[in-house]
Amino acid sequence: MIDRRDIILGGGMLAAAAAAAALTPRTHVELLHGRKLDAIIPMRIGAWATTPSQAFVLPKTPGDLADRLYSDTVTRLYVAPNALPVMMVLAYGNLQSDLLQLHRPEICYAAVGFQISNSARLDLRVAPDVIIPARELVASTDNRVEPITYWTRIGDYLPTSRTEQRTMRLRQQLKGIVPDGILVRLSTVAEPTPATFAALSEFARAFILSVRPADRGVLVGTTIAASLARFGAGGTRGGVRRAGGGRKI
Amino acid sequence: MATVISPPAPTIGWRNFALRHALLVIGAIALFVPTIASLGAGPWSTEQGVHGPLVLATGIWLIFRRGDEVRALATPGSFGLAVVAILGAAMAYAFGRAFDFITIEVAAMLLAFGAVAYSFVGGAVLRLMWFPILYLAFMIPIPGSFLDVVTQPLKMVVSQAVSAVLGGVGYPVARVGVTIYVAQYQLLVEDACAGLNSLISLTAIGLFYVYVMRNSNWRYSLLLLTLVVPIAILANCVRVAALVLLTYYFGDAVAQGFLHKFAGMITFTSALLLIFLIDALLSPVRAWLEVKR
Repeated sequence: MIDRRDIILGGGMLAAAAAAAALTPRTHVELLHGRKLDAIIPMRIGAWATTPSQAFVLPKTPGDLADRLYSDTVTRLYVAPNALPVMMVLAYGNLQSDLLQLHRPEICYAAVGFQISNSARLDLRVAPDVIIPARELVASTDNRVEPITYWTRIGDYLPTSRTEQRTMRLRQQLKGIVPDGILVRLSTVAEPTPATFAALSEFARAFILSVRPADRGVLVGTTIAASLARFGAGGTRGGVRRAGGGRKI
Repeated sequence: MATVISPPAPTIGWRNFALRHALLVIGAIALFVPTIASLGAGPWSTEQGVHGPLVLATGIWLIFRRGDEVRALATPGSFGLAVVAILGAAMAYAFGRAFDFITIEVAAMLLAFGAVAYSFVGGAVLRLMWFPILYLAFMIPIPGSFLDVVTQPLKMVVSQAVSAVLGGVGYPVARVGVTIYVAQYQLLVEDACAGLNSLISLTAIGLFYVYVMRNSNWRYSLLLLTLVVPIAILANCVRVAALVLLTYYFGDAVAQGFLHKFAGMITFTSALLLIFLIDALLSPVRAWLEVKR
């Protein structure tokens, strides 16, 4: 009774459903390991220490889309006696999909009315042989200019553009992995001079090195965290709080 | 169990059809159920996608109410073409569903169903049903990355218009970018307020209205549709202005409570009323176009 048309068309649809089920990535990789970001980011970073503040352009407003995008966020203002204050925003999403993916600051700042300019790729050198692919840009309104240095991590990749973010996510999904992701954004309110960006990079270095080696994976991915650990994780300028921390784990 | 012994009758009824083509029905369910579940958990539960279930239901209704025409015109389509389409749809579906591209997934599902329909009723019927098919395409979620790009300028327009009008009639309103200040309060015009979210829904509903009420005079439909974008923007200006005034008179807490409960509805209702109003105002144009036809 079943004719050729039914077998081919019906079978085609069944095959599509089956192939989708077979291809769906199932291995969740969460580099935060169920912990809270707040607990792994030091309150003191080099000469900088946290202080309460409200002056943030946040990637999320409560009850909003971003509330679903990010499973954990940290926003802190770090100040130091003879350095620019640095605003730190970390937004972590424990699973990255097409609908739930972290938003890059180009979008986030533009969404609240900032103009984005001077966006450029940055090779942020955190140790002699260790580079974090990052991005520098300037967000400005009529009354506020915010130089920003940020990077994003999707699984073990550090995409520096939206297209890269998409292809890198897909690359992991093709391996059967549901990656997590984080946005690490450092900014200050100052003239966007090379010196300002140098200060942000300096803070970024001190920041990464001040985090315990075992916890760095969530910020920069396991590959970069591993190469950092090989360098003993310390001794650079900016003062690392936990000397010799590289050997603890 | 299926003891269908009668020779194929001109109309065989749905139950018999389903029994006779059980494999097709099972295949369709295997695509439909998981995809609808994902849509329900994702896009359909957000403001961008609220129209999805509505479009699906009314779209199916639009097709079924013309069942007689379909039966009269039905001649099986080219099997080869149907196979090509189902192959493409199957690959796109597997990719889209497995890797979370729900836009591709839903589009592929519709293509698969279209291919099956084509193999039964042929191209003439699909051409006749162009409207329901186009309309059903509105249940395909628009990628967020695309929406962001288009929403941005709209937000600016909305906040500019609202602050200009309210400032013009004497309210203490100021604007920086997309932030509106009224008295001591500060309001951010978000995506939700800016109207592109509802633009897709409004276009779908506008299409439906034009089609059902104006019987698919396509010139007139096109004219009304070009007006949907300005209508959506206007409706959202109404919404943002209402929020600004509520904040001004009753404070932040009331406005935020209101925002979550009713603002979306107000946008939608005012947009629909605007469509009705414009449709009524354009009656002479419609009459003229109908004569021309």
